[in-house]
Order: sequence, then structure tokens, then C-alpha cells
Amino acid sequence: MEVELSKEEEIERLVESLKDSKSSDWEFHDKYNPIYSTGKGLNKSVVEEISEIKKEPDWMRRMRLKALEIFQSKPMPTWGPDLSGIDWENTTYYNRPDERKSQNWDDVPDQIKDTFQKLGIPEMEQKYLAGSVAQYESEGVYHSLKKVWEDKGVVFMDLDSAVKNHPDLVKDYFCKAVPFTDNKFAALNGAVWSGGSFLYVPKGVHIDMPLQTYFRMNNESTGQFEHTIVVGDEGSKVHYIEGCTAPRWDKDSLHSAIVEIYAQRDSDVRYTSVQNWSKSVYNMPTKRAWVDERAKMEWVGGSLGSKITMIYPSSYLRGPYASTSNLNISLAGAGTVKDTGAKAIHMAPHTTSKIIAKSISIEDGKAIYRGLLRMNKGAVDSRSKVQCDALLINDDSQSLTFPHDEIYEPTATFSHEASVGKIGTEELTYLRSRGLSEDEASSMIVLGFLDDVMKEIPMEFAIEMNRLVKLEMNKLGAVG
Amino acid sequence: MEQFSDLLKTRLKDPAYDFRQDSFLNYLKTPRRTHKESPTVKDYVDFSEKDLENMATGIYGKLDLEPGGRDCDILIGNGQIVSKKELKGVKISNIEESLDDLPPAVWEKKGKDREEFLINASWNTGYFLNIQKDREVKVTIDAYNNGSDSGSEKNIIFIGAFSKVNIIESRYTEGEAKGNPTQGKATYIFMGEGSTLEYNYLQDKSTGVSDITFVRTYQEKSSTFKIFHINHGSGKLLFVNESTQEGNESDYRVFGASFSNGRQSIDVRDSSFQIGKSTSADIQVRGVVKGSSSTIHRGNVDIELPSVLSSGFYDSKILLLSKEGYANSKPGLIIRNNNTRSKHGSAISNVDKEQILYLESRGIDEKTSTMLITGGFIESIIEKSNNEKFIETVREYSKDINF
Repeated sequence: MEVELSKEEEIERLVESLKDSKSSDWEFHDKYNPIYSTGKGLNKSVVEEISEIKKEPDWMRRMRLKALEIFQSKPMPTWGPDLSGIDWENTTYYNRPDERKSQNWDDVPDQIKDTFQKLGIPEMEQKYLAGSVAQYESEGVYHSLKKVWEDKGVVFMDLDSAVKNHPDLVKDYFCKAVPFTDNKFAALNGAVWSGGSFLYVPKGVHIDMPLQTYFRMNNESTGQFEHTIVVGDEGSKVHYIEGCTAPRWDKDSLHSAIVEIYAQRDSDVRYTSVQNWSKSVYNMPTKRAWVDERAKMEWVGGSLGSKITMIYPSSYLRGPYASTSNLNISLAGAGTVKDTGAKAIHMAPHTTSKIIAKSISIEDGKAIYRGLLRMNKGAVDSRSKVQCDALLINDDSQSLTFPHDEIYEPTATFSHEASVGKIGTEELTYLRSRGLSEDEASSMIVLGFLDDVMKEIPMEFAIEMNRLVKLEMNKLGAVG
Repeated sequence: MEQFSDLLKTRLKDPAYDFRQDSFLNYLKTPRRTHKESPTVKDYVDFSEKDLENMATGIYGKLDLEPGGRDCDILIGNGQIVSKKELKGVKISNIEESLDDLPPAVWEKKGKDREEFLINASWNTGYFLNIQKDREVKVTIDAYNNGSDSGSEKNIIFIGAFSKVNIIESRYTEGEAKGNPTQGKATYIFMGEGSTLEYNYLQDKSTGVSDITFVRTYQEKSSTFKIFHINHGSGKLLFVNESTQEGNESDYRVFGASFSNGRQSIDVRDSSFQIGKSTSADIQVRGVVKGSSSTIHRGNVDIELPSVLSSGFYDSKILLLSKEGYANSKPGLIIRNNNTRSKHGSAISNVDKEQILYLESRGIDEKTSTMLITGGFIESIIEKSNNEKFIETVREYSKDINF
């Protein structure tokens, strides 16, 4: 039975927990060399080489080459953070860590297994998960699914394996919600994609434990370009989680993923992502969900690491009574930019959306909210609420908010609110009058500010996120 | 635009030549926005290159207006003063006659937007209103542009230190609109220390005319700028209002309302740019959309690093009253220091059915109920004006929007 802690005890525990927190917990790197690499740079022969190694069907090879043409023809975005630091020429676009794709941790090469053990993945899988996939560099190295779900027809494996084992099923969904023509980074993914997960939940199946994929980049100047597809068939229910880390290098790496989610009629899909890339990673994924009649799509995100992140998970509400929510926390530490947000496109009557975004900027970190809310004509009686709150910790911290609200349906109701501020002196004074030091009080206020979103995140990830937020605060001497 | 450089050389042999040239280069350097890569950069009111060319190359001719019987202090036709009353402490002149008198600050402010750069390069008329310090004055300006003329104006308003000024400026079309003219103007207001300006701006041009207006204000220490802007006319409208609060403790308040009907497209931008310490900005805009029209409200509350102890608020509400119309809002917050308070909100919806039901239960029919609700919606903005004539005019619009 859990004993309720007093505030003093809670603070004490918080301070104690920080003593053990250090970025080396996830910023370590292994001396592990890939067994195959396409080398630096990107051109037609690199793309053909990737397709050849994977022994792909011709349609996939042609699609990759078409995507490469589109990538090369599209300009860099003229908006958002400065991306001029991406070194296209010196990035390695494909690294194969091992030949095997294991279904048992004992079969995974020791060094890779050690990495995931240090990150606590096998332990987490045993305790909390219905299945998991682990990706190291460009390939999935491990996947497993508990038998009970396999027997019910659930498919969960890395996407490369799914292309081989379930080609027709994959073809039905691959690049439908996010075509590679969508944007420059989606086109790049189309050309060099490797790994990612494929999750299919059959009609009416409710999976009561989450499934997780963990992505790890190890080498410097590499790219990780996974493509993930989640399909919740009619009436199904699933919670899919992604986590990602990388060591810190002097040279920058690039992560440009695609996530496609299909929440079919009456389904309930939750996607949680906790990103903790090191500060040498450009993180540019494209994530989108198609949400059909009466389906429910929930995005829960923690964007904690990376040098620059640009991410705007989108929900296309395609059927009547479809709904979506998007809860996101961004932490912009020193020298980093988090350009994050959400999009909800209401395309059918009686659809609803809720977007809550919280950001914290520390030192000269810059947190940007950029979102789109659109009510198409015909989205009769649809409703939406958008709320973004930002907390600026230091004098030179920055917050920018750019919502884009487009209403083409007169019966729709929409509201947006945003606020930016610092830790309130009144709140501080109140907590200090209760015996807390200023640092302790600041920390408590910051965690309270995040509480709306934090409580929606699975316990294990919430603890991890709390730890990371406190760690960033700790660097400032705000806690402990 | 090929002929524009030649035009610039022939038309503009004045002290502003360098300014015009810089502005034109800025225009050329600023790309036309596109929404292909992102929804964040989308021009909702589509001014084509032809529209802009018409505006830049158009030359306003003399407009004959009959001054008699008009209730205004200054009557302006195509940007040139037709008649003016003597007002104590107020000097008003055509800009081309005042170029040598203008302080250097005027030529330092080149603007920020593509269309504004073009107006600053190409204007050929406009007024210079100079109000001396320590004055308390009220100025009424009625300005007309010919319905078939394209062109652009540059207006300069100087408010002397510690003066209290109330301006009502109304903009109309003279004669029938022909040939889809595009009319631009950039009004720059310089406010001295401790001065107060209430600027009541009302635009009700013909819907056959496209209008591009920039109002840019520079506030010195402890100045207070209050603007009421009502945009009712023009087929295509871009109205941009931004105050640069350079002075500490400067205060900026915006009360705006836009009405769009038929096929009108209205783009209203209100922004603050706060640099001084302890500045405050409060922006409230309302819009009513009918017919196949569209309205977009945008604007940034921008609090820069030195602007500590400042606050900024932006609030937009739009009533979308028709099935064919649409409304967008894009409020932005740009906050570069943490010792500030800022917030924005926006809402778009139809008239609340519960409110109509309540009024109907009191025996008021649906049409009148809608009229009362939308009237109250606009009234909340204009009631803060100190200018009765202005309030009355807007009340008439409020009645008119209700079918």
C-alpha cells in the first residue's frame, strides 16, 4: 500500500532522485560498428543500394527513387528554425547493425542488448508491455508480441519484416496518410526509410497493455528514417508508445521519421511518444492520423531532447463524431529550439478536437507553438478548443506562439487561448511561507504547470519525464 | 514591374529619392508569400502582381470635391488637401510641399511588409499633419479617392510632447468604382513624450476598390495611443496596424471591428512591437462575416528582450453568420524575456443559439434577436471611443449587418 507523502517528504525524495540523474544515463555511446553502411552522402545509387540490401520488391525500389527526386526538387522550408546546420553530404543514411532480427533478447548481439538493458527496455517489456520492437541505427533488431495477442490476430513487428510477411496489408496503408510528396523531409524518408514498426489490431480487439518501440541512434552523423504504421481496425483499442534516445556527438545527426495512424470506425487509438534525442540531433518527423467515424485518436507527447525539433502531429477527422486530443509537453533547454504543435482538420459533422500544449524554456532555449485548426465546410456542429501555455524560466528564455485557425463552417465552434509567463511571485511567496526554499518552490510550480499533460502519460514515462525536467532545472541550480 | 525603375526616376525627383529607392529594393528582395510548404504563410487576401503594379504605377490626379456642407476640418481628395479649417497649434499640408520640413526620423522608417515597401517607393500624394506640443485638439478628416484611380499615399502625423489629440479619419470612394483599382496608403504616426492620441479610423470605400492600408506608430516615453479602426468597405482589403513602443511606459490600445459581406475579403492585422520597459498593449478585434465573404484577423504581441515588466494581450472574436463565408484567425505571441505577462485568445462561431432562444422567449423575433446580439458584439468595442460621430456611424453599420 502506498503511503501518502507530506510535501516535505515529496521534496526530499525529489532532491534525492536528482542525485542519481545524469545525462550519461542515455547519452552514452557504444563502440559498435555496423556490419554494413552505405557511407556518407545521398544519391540514386545509395537509394538503390538500400533497396537491394533489403531485397525489396520492384514497386518499393521505384517508389524510393521517385521520393528521392521529390526530395531533391523540394526547397527547404522558408519558415521555422534555422536548418542550415544539417550536413546532407556528411550524413550516413543507412547503417545495418546486424543480420538478425531476433524475437528473443538472448539472440540480440551482446553490445546492442547491453545498450537496451542500460535503457531499461527488456525490464519494461516484461513488466508493462504487450509487445515491443527495438530499433538500433537503421534496422529493427528485436521484436516480440505476447502470444495472447498474436492469437487474436494482432500483428506487431518492424516494418521491414511486415513488408515481407504481410505485403498486402502493408501496401493498403503505406504512404496513404503521409504521401512522400507531403514535404521535403517526408520525401527524404520515402527515399531512405528503414525500420519503424507495423502494428495492426484486428476488428474488436482491445489490447489492455501498451505496445512499445524504442529507437536508438548510436553513431555520429547518422540518419534514422523509420516509418511506422499503426492500424486500429473497427472497434479496436490500442495504446502504442515510442521512445527514442541518442548519444551526444560533436557532429549532428538527423532523425526524419514518418508515423501513419489509421483509427478506423469506432476504434480508440492512443499514441504516446517521449523523445529524448541528444542535443546533436535534428528531429524532423511527420506524424499524421486518419480518424474515421466515431473513432478516437489521442496524441500524447513529450519533446525533451534534440537540437532542433519540428513536429506537428495531425489528425484528419474524416468521419462523423470522430474525435482527437493532442497533449504535448516541450522542454527547450539551453541552445535548443522546439518548434512543436498540432493540427486538427475537421472534415465531417460533429467532430471534436482538443489541443493542449505546454512548453518550458530554460536559459536561451526557444519554445515555439505552431498549430493548425481547420473546420472544413460541412463539419457541422463541430467543436474545438486549443490551449497553449508557456513558462519562461530565465531572463533570456523565449516563447513564440503561432496558431492558425481556419473556420469554413458557420455552425462550428472554436476557441483558442495562449498565455506566456514566468513563475509567479505570488505562488512562490505562498510556497515559501509554507517553509519551502525558493528553489524547491520553483521546481514544484514547474511540475505543477505540466501536470495536465503529465497525468495522461503512462506512469513509467511520466516518471522519466519528471526526472528529465528536474534534471534540466537542476542544471540551473533551481533544485537540490 | 519592368518599367518601374524608369518611372521611379522620372516621377520622383525629390528629397525622398534615396528612401524610395531603398524601399523598392526591399520590395524586390521580399518574396511573395506562398502557402505551399506551410499553412503558416498564406496570403488570404489575394493581391495579384497586377493589383500591386496598378497601385505602384498609378498616379492620383486632382479630385474635384465640393467643400461646402461637409462636417469636417480637413477635406482630402485623392490624397491632396481640398480644403482645411484653421486649427490652433495644428499645421496640415500636402506631403510633397513639406518634404524639406520632415524630420529625418520619417526617412528612417521604411516598414516591414512587402506591400508597404512598394507604397513607400511609389506614393505620389499624402498629407503631413503636425500638432505642436502641449495642445489639446480634435481633428476631423474626410478623405475620398476616385473610384477609378489606382495609386498610393504616404501620410505623416506628428504629435508633439504632452499633447492630447483626437483624430477621426473617414475614407470613402468618390464616384463609381471602375477598372478594379488598387489604392494604397501608409500612415506613419510619431508620438512625442507624454502625448495621447485617440485615432478613430473608418474605412467605407466601394466594394469595387481594393485597399491596402498600413498604420505604423512610433511611441515615445509615457505616450498613449488608442486606435479605433472600423473596416466596412473595399472588395479586397489589407489593413495593417502596428505600434512600435520604443518609449518606456508607453501604452497601446486597439479596438477594431470589421464587417464583410458579399464577396469581400478582409485581412486585418494588429500587432504590438514592445521594446521599452513597462509597456502595455491591449488589442481587441471583432469581425462579422456575411454572404460569401471572408475575414482574417492576425497580429502578434511581440515583447522584445529589453521590454521587461511589460504586458501584451490580443483578443479576436469573429461572428460567422453565413454558410458561404469563412473566417480565420492567426494571433501570435513572440515573447523574448520572462519578466512579462502576455496572453492571446481567439474565437470563431455563429451567434449563440441559446441567446437567440432567450430573446425569442421574451417575444423578440429571430431577426431582431440576431441584430441585438451582433449589435452588442460590436458595441463592446466602439463604446470606448470618445468621438460621438464615430460611434453613431458604426452603430448604423451594426444595424445594417443584420439583413
